[in-house]
Amino acid sequence: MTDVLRTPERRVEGREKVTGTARYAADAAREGMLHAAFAGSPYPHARVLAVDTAAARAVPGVRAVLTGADVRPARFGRRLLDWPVLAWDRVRFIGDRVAAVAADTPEAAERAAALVDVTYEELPAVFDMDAALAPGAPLIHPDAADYRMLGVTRPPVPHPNAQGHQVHEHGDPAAGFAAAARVFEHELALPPVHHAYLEPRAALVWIDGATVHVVTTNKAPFSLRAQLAAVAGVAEDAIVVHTPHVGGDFGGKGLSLDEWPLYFLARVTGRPVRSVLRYADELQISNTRHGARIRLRTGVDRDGRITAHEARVRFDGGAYAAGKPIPFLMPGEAMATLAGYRVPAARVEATCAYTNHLPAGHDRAPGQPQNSFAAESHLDLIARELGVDPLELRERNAIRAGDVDVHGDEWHASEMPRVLAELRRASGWGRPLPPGHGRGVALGARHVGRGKTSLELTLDERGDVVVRSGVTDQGGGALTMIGRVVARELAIAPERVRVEQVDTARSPVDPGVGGSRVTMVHGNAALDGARKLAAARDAGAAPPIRVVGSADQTAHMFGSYAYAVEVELDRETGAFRVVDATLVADVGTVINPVAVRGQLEGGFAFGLGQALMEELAIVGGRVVTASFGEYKIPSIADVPPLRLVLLTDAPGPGPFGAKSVGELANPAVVGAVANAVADAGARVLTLPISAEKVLAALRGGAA
Amino acid sequence: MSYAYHEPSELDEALALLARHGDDAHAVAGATAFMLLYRQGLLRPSHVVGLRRVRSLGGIRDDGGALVIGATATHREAERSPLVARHCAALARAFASVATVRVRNQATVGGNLAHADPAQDPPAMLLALDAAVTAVSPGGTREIPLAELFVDVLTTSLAPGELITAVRVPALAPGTRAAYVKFLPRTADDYATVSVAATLRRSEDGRVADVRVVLGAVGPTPIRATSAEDALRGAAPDAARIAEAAALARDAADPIDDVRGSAAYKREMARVWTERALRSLVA
Amino acid sequence: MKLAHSSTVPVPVERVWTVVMDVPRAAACVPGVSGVSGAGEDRFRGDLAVQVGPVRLSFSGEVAIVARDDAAHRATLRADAKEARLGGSVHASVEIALARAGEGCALRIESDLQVAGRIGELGQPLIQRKADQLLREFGACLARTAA
Repeated sequence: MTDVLRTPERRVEGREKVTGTARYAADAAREGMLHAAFAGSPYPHARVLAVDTAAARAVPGVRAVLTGADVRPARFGRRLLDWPVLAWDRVRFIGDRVAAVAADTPEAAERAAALVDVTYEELPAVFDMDAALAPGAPLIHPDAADYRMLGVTRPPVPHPNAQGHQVHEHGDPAAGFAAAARVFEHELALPPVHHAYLEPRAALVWIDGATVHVVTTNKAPFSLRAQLAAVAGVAEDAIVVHTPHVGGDFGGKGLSLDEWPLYFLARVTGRPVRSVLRYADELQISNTRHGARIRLRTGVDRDGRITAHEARVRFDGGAYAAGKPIPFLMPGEAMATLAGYRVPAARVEATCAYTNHLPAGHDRAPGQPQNSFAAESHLDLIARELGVDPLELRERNAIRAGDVDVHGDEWHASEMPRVLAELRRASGWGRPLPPGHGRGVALGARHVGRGKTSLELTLDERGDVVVRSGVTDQGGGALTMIGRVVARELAIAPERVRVEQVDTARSPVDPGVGGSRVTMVHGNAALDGARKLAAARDAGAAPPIRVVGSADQTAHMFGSYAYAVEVELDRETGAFRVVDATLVADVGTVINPVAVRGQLEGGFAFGLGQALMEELAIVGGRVVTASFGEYKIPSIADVPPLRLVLLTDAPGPGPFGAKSVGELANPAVVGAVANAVADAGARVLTLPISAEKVLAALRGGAA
Repeated sequence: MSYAYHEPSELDEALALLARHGDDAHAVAGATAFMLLYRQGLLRPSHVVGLRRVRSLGGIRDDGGALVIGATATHREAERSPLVARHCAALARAFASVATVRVRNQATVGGNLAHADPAQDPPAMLLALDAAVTAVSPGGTREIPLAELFVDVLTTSLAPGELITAVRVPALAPGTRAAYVKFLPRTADDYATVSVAATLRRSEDGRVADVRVVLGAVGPTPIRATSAEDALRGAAPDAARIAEAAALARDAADPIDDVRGSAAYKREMARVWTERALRSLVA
Repeated sequence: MKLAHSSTVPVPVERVWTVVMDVPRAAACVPGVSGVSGAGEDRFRGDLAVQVGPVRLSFSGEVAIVARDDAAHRATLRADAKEARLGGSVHASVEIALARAGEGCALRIESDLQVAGRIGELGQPLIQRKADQLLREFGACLARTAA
């Protein structure tokens, strides 16, 4: 039998999705179901003085109107519970919810929500992260000391408006800077952006006796269960979370918004209550990628080799830290300011600030595109100043086995030199360009996923296998991957493995999708289960054989990649397009060939959007790009062909030597594009690289 | 959906429904603009009157040299119609420039004009071609030149309950050339940062006999840059004269700052793209 | 967002000032305003119906004279209104200044407008153009009324 992994995969949920029979959370319905709508704050920062719900209650069909007084002191969050389910004393961003309505129809609920009459007293708002962290800045969370933190103690912060703060130092930065032939310093900035998944958040909550049921778009059902238990004060096993297909996530759907007020509405009405978030609200109240301002200072020797590095990173966390799951309450890669390089000495300080903007959270490789844009622009500027070819400067500084990275960690193996050599070859680096064209390079590295999970496998009399897992498939192909790992290990056709995603009552605890985890963790658990099945079968056990496959993936390892892109620039308008692109990626063994290509090509398009156009424009706290007519993302017509080179022979810790790819390829796109535009004549230090900024740079103005 | 949906097959029936329900009714054809506003919760009519089944509103025909496009003809029909292409290739291009093929398969020519979005493509081109709509109400039928149809952002001079039945594009004087250019620095399916529709006819001595320049997306309605036209009319359209006209078009633009650029940038782009459009017409 | 309107009226300053400070009469100059009545000293209540493109909005709220200098012909008004169809509110601070201009009067109105809630989603292009138009028509009507 041919190797399963060599045949392109067939998605287990593909037929349902392409024929339109797939059901999503917004399709879930129950008899007697009510519809919810919410009233949000029109002010970025205000005291709530009074809430009058009389007119809202008088709307025909309205069954319940709840305000902050009804839910107090319930706050939610993935780690820090700092976001009130409904504000009772203070609103902290435009859209912060103050009331929830349940009614017979969505229209009645919406009409009633518009009639909730709130008296506010405006407070001074803070929109800039540095202003928020200045002495004497207006406090956004005066009661922060009372906030609960799930599982851990909150690390100390240097300012009451700081969500999180980290400092790292290794080597001797002072000596490194003293030894440097040249020292360079640059500051770059990025706006918040949205994931732009196709499916908006939706949820249905009902209470059946002592059991709370939730149908949700949340991609981490067990985490939602733990959070809801904390918010509602009920036991985790009294909650069942059902996650159907999830229509795109990119990190955003780890944070639930509607489930909390829906729970209270379901409790008070005794009826199922559903809501589907308007996309305009997705863009105005949900969990963006953090805007950032990053200052980098790097010393290099005569040959351009890094001797010391210093970084000051500021993130705009918005009004709540609730969207961030890691205990530091920072984007995961907040400190990775020179990822993929040898950095003998460094001091990196990062702070995430509370502001009166919409809350930021996790978005595909959190923290990395910000730091990558800054670092790759910074190194390119250094290369130009030194008169060294930008790719060559990277080759000189690329991390190799035995080197120490920006975190002070030693790499035991590195594919980076090979990645760059392959990029030089595959992209035709150095070939002459037509006039008006520019070429840029950027590299990146991302750790593979870690974590533990278990799943259940059953082998029947026919030799077919059923796998039950609590993992959500948000479009990444998790279920297909699990099936192929089992099929390959048992040497059976993938069609003979059925993978079922089951609710939290029927699955062992699962960490959910995220952190480039699924192939590493769930893939290894599937492999473990398959091996146990094979062992039991070979030992003569009678079917049905039921085993639990488990994995605890702790290996710390990196995937490396690099881009070369070419742009064509219109010097009269500043508009440019990417006309050619090459990506070399070190991905280890490939389980799902189609999905791997999809993740890398999709990551490229994702980064292209951030480079060229994406920006949640916020004016006075109000998001003014509240539709896809204004918030543009690339469509297939805007994405140039990508030359993709996969390095598959350096094994990772996943099944059969797989590495992670989901968040591998999007971060470095922004730097590669910025560097190509700079090569064509316009250095732009803020994203997105709009035509107007390019024209200003061409004409010698600030960009 | 919270509204009653009516889909009459006769125009009289549609007009009667709109008259009966007044402010509570909204007429749609492809409903692409309506659904955006509805889903965002900005429009909440009790009655929606769909016009797609009214056969007399469809079709594209030649009427003695004039091109008549029925109100419910889709953009896709218009962009692919040999009649439209023969009449004016730039007009076909303007229809083909709208959004995506999925939208163009649904959105209608009459609906586009009634929606009066100044950032849309057909209004600027049709204004440059001196088109007029035929409008009907229970009170009768009238012709409204496009220059009088567009009043403000999303606002027309149509009376409540009045419907566009067709748009009529007069025959172009022989030798007239037309261009439609759209500046799209972000995505292919974006609204224009600026668009320019222009027509130009030269007399036998090479001078400009007639010219119309219309700017899209840089004002509350499509803007006719008459000063630019005046600078060209009767003149030899050399590079210097075209540059002068383009500079006047920049001054005619009335944009606002938004995510597509500052007002100053859009004005400058109005100049650049006017110059490009005019150059293509004398090349 | 900030809006401004200036015009010159061939009417003496005093006469224009009288019209401007007679709030119910001046308010009638804003297209769509109805039912203006007193609500205490220098405070007035009223309704405003506005059509922004295809979207109809109905506001009800208050206008207050927060500062006036009859000698200098300057006044500051504050308007706060709620919109109950879509949900939202507008808040405006309006500075009115009159000055002698030959035989006539130069009228200058500056307004700082805040739009909050769902109605803000109509988008800046629509809102700003509409507000500009209302201000223009208000100014023109004041001139007509005084003349």
